[in-house]
Amino acid sequence: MKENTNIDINTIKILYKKYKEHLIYILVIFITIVLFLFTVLPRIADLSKLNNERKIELNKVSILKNNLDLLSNLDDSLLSSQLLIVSSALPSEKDFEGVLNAVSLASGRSGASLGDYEFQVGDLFQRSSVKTTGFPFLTLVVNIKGTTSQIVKFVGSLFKSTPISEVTSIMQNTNSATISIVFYYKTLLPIPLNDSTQIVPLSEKGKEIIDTLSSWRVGSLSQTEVPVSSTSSASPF
Amino acid sequence: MKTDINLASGVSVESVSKNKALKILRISAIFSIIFITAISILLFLLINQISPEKVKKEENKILLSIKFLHEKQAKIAIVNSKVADISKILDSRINYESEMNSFLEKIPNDVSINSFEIDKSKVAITISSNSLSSIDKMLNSFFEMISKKQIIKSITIQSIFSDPKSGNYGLSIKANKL
Repeated sequence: MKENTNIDINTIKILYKKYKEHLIYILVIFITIVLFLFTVLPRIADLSKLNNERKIELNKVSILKNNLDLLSNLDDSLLSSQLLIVSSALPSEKDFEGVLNAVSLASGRSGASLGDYEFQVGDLFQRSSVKTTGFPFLTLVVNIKGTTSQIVKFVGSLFKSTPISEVTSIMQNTNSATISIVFYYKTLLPIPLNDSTQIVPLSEKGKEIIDTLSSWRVGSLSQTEVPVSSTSSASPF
Repeated sequence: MKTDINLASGVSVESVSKNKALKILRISAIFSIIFITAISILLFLLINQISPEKVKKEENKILLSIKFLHEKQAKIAIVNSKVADISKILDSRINYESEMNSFLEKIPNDVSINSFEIDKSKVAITISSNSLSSIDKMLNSFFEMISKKQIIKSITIQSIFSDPKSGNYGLSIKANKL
């Protein structure tokens, strides 16, 4: 059975008067529910996001603090000398002067005399050469006159000289040898300075390498200062 | 016995239930206000506590200090990069001095070296001597190197020659490196 209820204004007024106090409380409860749903709940959801952001920022600050401490405690003069050592060992471009110095010093140390030498420069040659290191290099083919032990000494001396070189082949006859040497270099690519990246201090292995290179340099400098008698005749300069 | 006798009037019963509902509503409203206030204050404090703004201010302060140390930063980056490259090259290099010495020390004094070639993959030696036993001794030393897996893995005798006038014997060998 269907009942039709007619609610006119008077009925509403009567109901309103009767439940006026109830309505106020219901309204208060409704407003608090709305506030909870639309303002408090989203903020609660934001809390974890904010916490994550804070963690990221704290991590960044920790990295920055470490970087600042590291950079502040670095000895600038030591760093400059280390830079000089590694730059002379692996130049940023073809270092003809360094190459000729290294060959000349090796010849002086070994007592072998230098004959003619030939630089093989150019991209065409480099592309056709097979190398494993992947670094660009400058090839020098040098003819040396000397005994077997002198040639071995020459090769050993080159092994411990800068710019870093690598003998690729030795062809020795009775009193002379043709040695093919590659001298490495590497163009310095722009290094992006990202403050939020952890700065890595020089590793122990790195320090050892620099010490080794430094000892080679000291050897070559003292050699330059006090040349062996045979150097003058062997030097191509 | 009759138990369904209601002495209260209908109006009074309605008033009591209305008051009860009102009381419940009032308590609920007050509780909800307290709840929403408390949770809002708590949220405000929490958000204030974990807000990254304070950390960002500290970060900017450190960044400003680091700005003056960018030169050092660049230097250490270059040194590290170069050291890594140098390390790769040094590790890949072959020490021909020691390799040559390993061969030369096995060649007896009365054996002369006519030619000696060495590269990454092979060693080729041509020698001559008037003593066959010295040549034999040298060859045995080279075979020993192969068995000890020292520098070379195989050896090929390419030619043997002799000069009856001088009484010299010659030998040309080629060895493949490990």
